Amino acid sequence: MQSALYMRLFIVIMLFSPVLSNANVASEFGVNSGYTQNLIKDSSDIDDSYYTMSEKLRYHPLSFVEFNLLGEYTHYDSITGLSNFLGGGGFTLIPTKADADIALHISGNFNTQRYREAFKGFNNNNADVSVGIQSKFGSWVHHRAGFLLNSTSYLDSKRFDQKSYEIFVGINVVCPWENSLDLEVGHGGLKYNSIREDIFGVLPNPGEDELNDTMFVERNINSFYISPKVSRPLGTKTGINIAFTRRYFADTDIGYVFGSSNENLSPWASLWEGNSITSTVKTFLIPTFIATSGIGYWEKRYLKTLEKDQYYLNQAEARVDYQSRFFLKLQRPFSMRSGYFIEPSIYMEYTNNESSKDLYDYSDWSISLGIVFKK
Amino acid sequence: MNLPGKLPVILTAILFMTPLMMSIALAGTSENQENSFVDLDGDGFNDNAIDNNADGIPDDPNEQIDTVPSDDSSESTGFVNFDAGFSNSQVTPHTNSEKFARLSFTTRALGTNRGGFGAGDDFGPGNGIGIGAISAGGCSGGVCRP
Repeated sequence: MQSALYMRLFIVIMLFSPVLSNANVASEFGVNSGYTQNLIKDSSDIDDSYYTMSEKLRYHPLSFVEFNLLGEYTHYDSITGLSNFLGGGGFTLIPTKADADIALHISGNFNTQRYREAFKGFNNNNADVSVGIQSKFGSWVHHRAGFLLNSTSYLDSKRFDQKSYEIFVGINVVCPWENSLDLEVGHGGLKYNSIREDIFGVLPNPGEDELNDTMFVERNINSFYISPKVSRPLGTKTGINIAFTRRYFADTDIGYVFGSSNENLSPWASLWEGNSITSTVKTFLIPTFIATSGIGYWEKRYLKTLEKDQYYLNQAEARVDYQSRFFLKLQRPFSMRSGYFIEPSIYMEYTNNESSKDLYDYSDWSISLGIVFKK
Repeated sequence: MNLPGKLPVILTAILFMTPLMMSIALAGTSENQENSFVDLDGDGFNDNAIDNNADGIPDDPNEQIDTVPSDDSSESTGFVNFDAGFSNSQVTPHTNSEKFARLSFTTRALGTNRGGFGAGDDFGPGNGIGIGAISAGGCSGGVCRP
């Protein structure tokens, strides 16, 4: 199966090879290898090493149109079932002039992701369409607004499918002494399948193998957020930013979902309300290198979850996590006169998570080395 | 603690009205907008800094840089870096890819909205390679988005 996937990738690239020599085509190829001390991100502390190969082609038949193709394969050494192929494509239209005061951005993307047999339940298709507009008023005020539709469908079971829409507006103001203030607010609506309380209020958790679609009912989440961000240079070669985000769910009667200890693979991993504060520093003090570092703190409250070791719905509660993270990245770009661009990089990250559920008390550190080729 | 439900609506109205009022106040003023400080990508650096070789490091104005040749020469490489984040306006675009990169620069603030469902934690630049690997970010619920 693995060789068949590689062959499909090769065929796709070869089909487009006649246009690769075209000046209106840009190509990006990357290879990354890394190690993580806690792959699943829970108290199991399972470590693993991995590598990723990625190829992206961008074709510009017109100066304001882009079509792109993406193919990517990730392999995990210990939990090999998590290895997956991701493929997809999309388009982008920017039908406004570069020197105009208003810029319009329209894009659409489709991706499909396939895991190995052990994790085939996470095979999914994802599609999104977005429209954004950006305008400037003088040289120191920029305004933006956007709208996004997204659909995620899992091929094995529809009960984890999600459909959402999002709208946001933002304003960026240049203040005295090169301080920038950026403020963004947004709203999102998401449909998902909740456990039916009239069934599981009296019956125990049957386990995943006994579930069927009649045990679920569609519910909605209404999310709102506000996020101020301040940035400024420190000298001529360093920049810093601090961002705060407050997201909350307006619905007081949110439903229930089944839990999963596969943290990053959980369909509910991104559905939380709470606060976060992050800060990032970027510097060019080391000649010819780009160094970036950041810290962050999150308070997350997830949906009410019936975990695998819980049998009755009244045991389900909203998990609350308190998470701290730190990262460091070093890049060395090489821009050649021949038109090639090569950039090796090293990336390290540390995470500490304290949760109201012991299963999600964990810490994790990871390191990866990568290199990107662009033409 | 939940914020009042009407607060986002009020803030949205303020955000729409503020630029209108500022545009009225700024009407008639003339500035060299290309060289003015602006930081839409929020990294703390002036997005209008010149980066002629598109390596993501702004050119030092005090140094004689051996930059990518200008459009007056026949040696233009045609390389465009969609992730550089700085203006390289000294190089006039020739190809559709170069022109599209210049247009993309004008919409750089329209990246992932910070509090959206797909934004995840929106923290850390990853290593810029792949969106399928867990540690590279951009993945949530087994779904990886570009």
